Amino acid sequence: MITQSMRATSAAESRFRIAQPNSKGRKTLVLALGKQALTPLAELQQLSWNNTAMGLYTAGHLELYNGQDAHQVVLDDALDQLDVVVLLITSDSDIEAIETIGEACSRRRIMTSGYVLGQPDDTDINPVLACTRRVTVSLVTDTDTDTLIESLRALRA
Amino acid sequence: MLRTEVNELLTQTGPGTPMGDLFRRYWLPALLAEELPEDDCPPVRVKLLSERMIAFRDSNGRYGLMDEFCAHRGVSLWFGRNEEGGLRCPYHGWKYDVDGNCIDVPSEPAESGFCEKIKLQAYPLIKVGDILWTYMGPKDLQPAPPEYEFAVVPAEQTYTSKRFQESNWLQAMEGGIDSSHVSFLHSGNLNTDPLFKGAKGNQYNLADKMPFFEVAKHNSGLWVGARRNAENEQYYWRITPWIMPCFTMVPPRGDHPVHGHFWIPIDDENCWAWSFDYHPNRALSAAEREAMEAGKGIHCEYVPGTYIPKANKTNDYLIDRQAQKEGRTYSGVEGIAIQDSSLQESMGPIIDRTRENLVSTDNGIIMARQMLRKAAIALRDKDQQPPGVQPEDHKVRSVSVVLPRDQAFETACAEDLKARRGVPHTSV
Repeated sequence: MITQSMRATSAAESRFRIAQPNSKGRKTLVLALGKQALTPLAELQQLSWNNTAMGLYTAGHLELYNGQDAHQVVLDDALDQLDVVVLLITSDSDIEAIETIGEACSRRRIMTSGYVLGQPDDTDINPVLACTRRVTVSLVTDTDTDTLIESLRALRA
Repeated sequence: MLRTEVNELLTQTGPGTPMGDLFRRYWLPALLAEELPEDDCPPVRVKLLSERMIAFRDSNGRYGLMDEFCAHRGVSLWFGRNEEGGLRCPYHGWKYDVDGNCIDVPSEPAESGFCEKIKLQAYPLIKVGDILWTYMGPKDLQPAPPEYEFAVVPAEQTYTSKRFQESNWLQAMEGGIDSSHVSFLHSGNLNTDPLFKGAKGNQYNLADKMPFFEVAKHNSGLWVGARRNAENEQYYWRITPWIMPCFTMVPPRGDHPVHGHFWIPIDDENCWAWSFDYHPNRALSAAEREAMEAGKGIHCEYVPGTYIPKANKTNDYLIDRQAQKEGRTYSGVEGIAIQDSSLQESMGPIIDRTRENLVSTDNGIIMARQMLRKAAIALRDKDQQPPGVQPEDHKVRSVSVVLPRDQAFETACAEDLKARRGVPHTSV
């Protein structure tokens, strides 16, 4: 007797999947938290994304970029309606800013992840790393932006 | 999500494909040594990376792995006579040695030199630990034999099994990197399986179902750290090493043996899930070995005389809805190995990754795919040797540890993540 599992898992049967989207678009914000992160952020801006905003958050000020233009936004307004926040962490990132963003995202139950651009044994980055660990659900350490781009694509940003 | 062309690149491993070429640069588990138990024993069919081969052990104890089919009329050499230093085709008596050389064609005069013109493609087959390993790549680039710790500890400290899985290798392997599923799918086993229960780490696992993930690259793969809350303002970390292209180790639990896996493509729709358990500094106890042989832990029970799991798609994995309802098992399927295989096979032979919705805790999977893709392309376009090929790359360990909140696992556990002969593993 052919079981349900045998029938359902065949290559032939795998063709029959509902061809409608199984998710709605996500809104993503990629935030540089230090000036060193502006170079990778500019790299990201050259690529095309879905519903993804990019900006810099330092000293309590949030600037969002639209091409070459920058405009100031209130953090709470920027976080409303967001699904994903990606923090770009460099050794000059402001710990207070990380905590503020992390707590704001946590209150809103926004998926928050950190990308550390540098080496984990870089002593300058350690305090920033420790803080980022407390406020994100995932953290990736890498020396270039390839992984970041790959991850954003995988997250449908 | 993954674009269709990347999904195809990563999942196709036949001859001439980028991922197939990548796999062919590594020593790969081909058979359990128990499958060729003695000289002149029956040959065994082997299919790896979409190539059909025959493995045999000749009269002098030499192992051979070569094209399954006789060069004469294409008969399967599985029917061959393994005798007097070679495998003889039963159809017309053509005989081959372990290197695939034709050494006898009875119908032709020996002095004609006919047999010197016949040679089957053959690959080296060597025994390291409980496994016969093969290397299917360019001869001049053949690396030194593998040195994974589980394979080089004394025989009494290690146990290896394999099981047939009806899915592409990648979706199977991704389960080994994704440690967040343990708190759900395997939750019923943590406190009952003889190879898992009793470890303090299990309490952390079961209490915190929202682990934080931290992923870091190393020379030959990734460290995937899953962090859960522990007492006294500390964190419980489970660190899974992934070594290119398909080796993972499960973080240990207490003094239980450490487990791990290889996922080896048979073809694009099937793979071998290799599972091992070893203890770095003591023999496995009789009870542990008995449990492994009985299919506990990450091993499984078989259809007798095969490496096909007893619970498989032909019997709906023996799903028990009552056990699911009562919480004895989370999915209703018994046993860690089959809990994984049932779900991974349910995705279909090759999952359509354009339809998936990954989350940020899937970063280990995302990064492993990225490293595989980049390595396959670098090999194809620049003939660049991929990471993880050399024996030094294999000397890693998984770790479970409780650390103060301000410590990074990569630095705090740098030594613990290295395989060190005779040194106990770091485990909670």
